[in-house]
Amino acid sequence: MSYCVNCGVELDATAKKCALCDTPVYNLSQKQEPTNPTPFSQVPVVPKSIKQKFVALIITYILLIPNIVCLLINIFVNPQNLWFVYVLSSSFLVWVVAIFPFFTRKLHPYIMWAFDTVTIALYVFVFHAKNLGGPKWYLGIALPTILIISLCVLVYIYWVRKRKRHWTSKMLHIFIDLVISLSVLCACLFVADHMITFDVFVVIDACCLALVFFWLYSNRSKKLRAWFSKKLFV
Amino acid sequence: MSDKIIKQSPEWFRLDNAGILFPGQNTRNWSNIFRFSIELKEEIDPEILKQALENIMPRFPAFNVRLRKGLFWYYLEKNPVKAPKVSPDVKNPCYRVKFKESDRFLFRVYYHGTHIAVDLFHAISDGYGNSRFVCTLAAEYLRLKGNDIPCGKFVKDISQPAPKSELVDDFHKYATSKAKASITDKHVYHPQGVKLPKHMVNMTCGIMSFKEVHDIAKAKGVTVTEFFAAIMLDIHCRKQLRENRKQKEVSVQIPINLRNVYPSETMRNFSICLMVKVDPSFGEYSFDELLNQVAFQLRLARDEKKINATISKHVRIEKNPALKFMPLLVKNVCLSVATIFGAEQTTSVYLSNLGEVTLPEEMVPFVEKALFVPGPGMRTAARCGIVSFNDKLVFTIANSFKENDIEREFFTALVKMGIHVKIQSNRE
Repeated sequence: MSYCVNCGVELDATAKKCALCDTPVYNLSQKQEPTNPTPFSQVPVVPKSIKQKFVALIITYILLIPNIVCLLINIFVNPQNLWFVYVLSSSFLVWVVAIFPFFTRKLHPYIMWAFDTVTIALYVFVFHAKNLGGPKWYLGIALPTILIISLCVLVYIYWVRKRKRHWTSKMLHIFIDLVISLSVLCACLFVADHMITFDVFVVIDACCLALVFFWLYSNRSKKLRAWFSKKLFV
Repeated sequence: MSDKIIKQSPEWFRLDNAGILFPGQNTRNWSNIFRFSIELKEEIDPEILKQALENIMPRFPAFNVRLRKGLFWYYLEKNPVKAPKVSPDVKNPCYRVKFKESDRFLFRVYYHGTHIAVDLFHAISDGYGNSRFVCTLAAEYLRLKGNDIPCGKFVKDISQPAPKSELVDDFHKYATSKAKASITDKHVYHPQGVKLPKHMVNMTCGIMSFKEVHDIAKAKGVTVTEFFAAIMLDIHCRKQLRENRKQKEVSVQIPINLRNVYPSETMRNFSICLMVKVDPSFGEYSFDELLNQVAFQLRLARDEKKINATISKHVRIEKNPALKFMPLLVKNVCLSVATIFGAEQTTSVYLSNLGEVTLPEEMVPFVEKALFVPGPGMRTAARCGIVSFNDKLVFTIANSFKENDIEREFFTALVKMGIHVKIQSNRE
């Protein structure tokens, strides 16, 4: 019969430590009886769940069907206009962003995000380059903006993974990233002489900058942080 | 005789008023399930246990069922399989139920060392029903081992068919109140912590003398349930203060057996939950003040008229034509959403006292103790089950969080009051 010196409770004869405070049991007078069954089974059961890879594979097959159908229709009905490419690029984007992660769960988040960036850049090229101003628009505005946003997200991922942050600090970082991305977009729009769009994005950028100062102040003021935590408690 | 009983039991029946909720709330990771277990003084033989289970199944038509889907409601249908399998016990009791597993039975029978345990899905019965089932199973097991065990008390007579009164949904029978009971409550405090992996639960049992606890509770002018509820409230109030966050109300949910209020014999669900709560914004409560709060609130809530108003309200909701004719699929979606956002939001602690297990005198020497384990909660850290047998009271805390500070504080508080506590746990 052993008692925990810390909690004062009697422990089971098979216990190696106190179940309440983890204090180890050293009872030299108690004979070791390895055949004694523990009071509860030590074999856990993990119920079978649906395999994510299997579901992802089924969705991939389902996604292939409209692509094959569109390819066949495009080849036989209107071979001059390759509209099938739009369907393919959209499906590929959905697959890479939403389904591919289920096949490779252990893939590093940076590599995963790099894949996503390349796919988004390709998608924008295929889908919008022709309609919105050709290679000049793509290389001048779209690609730099995508790369800068992607870089900001990468920095954000690194920063969040490094250590646990308070949520006000996370919000501050998100808005700093937004300001940087929008500033790059504005610069590209200015160079490309898209003045109406430029004006709109400058206003949004200015709003984000104002919010950066707000979050910066909230993050530094202990009182405000406590007030936020209290009011927005989940 | 067994065949006669099977023929007499109904082919299908509706879920009771409390049970209709549980299948819709069931998810891949969580089920409303609980365990009642009995510990004998000798090693369990699985072959004999299996035979005992097959022998008693016809006596329990409420358990011998499988869950089926209708267009508007789930219903229970007689299971053509004789009995579920008997399996070695697992470390994580009360893991989720899948309706198509284990031959579609809604309960699982386990053995480990000297234990016989039954994990039961709450849709078919409550603690009263499960305790009778397990005690009858243990009695039949002992009979097959060559002992002469009579029927009576918690042990049902398996040579007689189940009376109709055991299959009745007594919520409908006794819901006669026209008063409008309010069932809305504020969101309350939930302890923070790191969740255990899916399907896992830490089970900590404190074994103590019923007399010691009863004497202390009596000296303070409260019942054993009120005494334990006050300790739990005290622990949670102090924990909330330590966590230094917005101070919310702390509540203890206590189910009460309505068979003690109404003359019912049903083996299906017939209990409702009462809520005892304190608001720390009024100031810090001493333990004696908490005891007074719990005692007053619980005794006030146990008023038959209030209970009737609550069950009448629940029955009225079930009978609402808009809800009645809503397709089951839509009901399930609504219930799932309500479960995700609203489940256990009004409960900080769950505390269920099954009371004393009484067995025929001839059976008592063969039984060591009984154990009642509520299933793990979605938000509540401490889900407590109390049962006593032969002066041995077992207080079990099922906790789905890694931290065990609630267990430690609770049992050390009892030790400080002079109660001898023996701890058993499934924690490694």
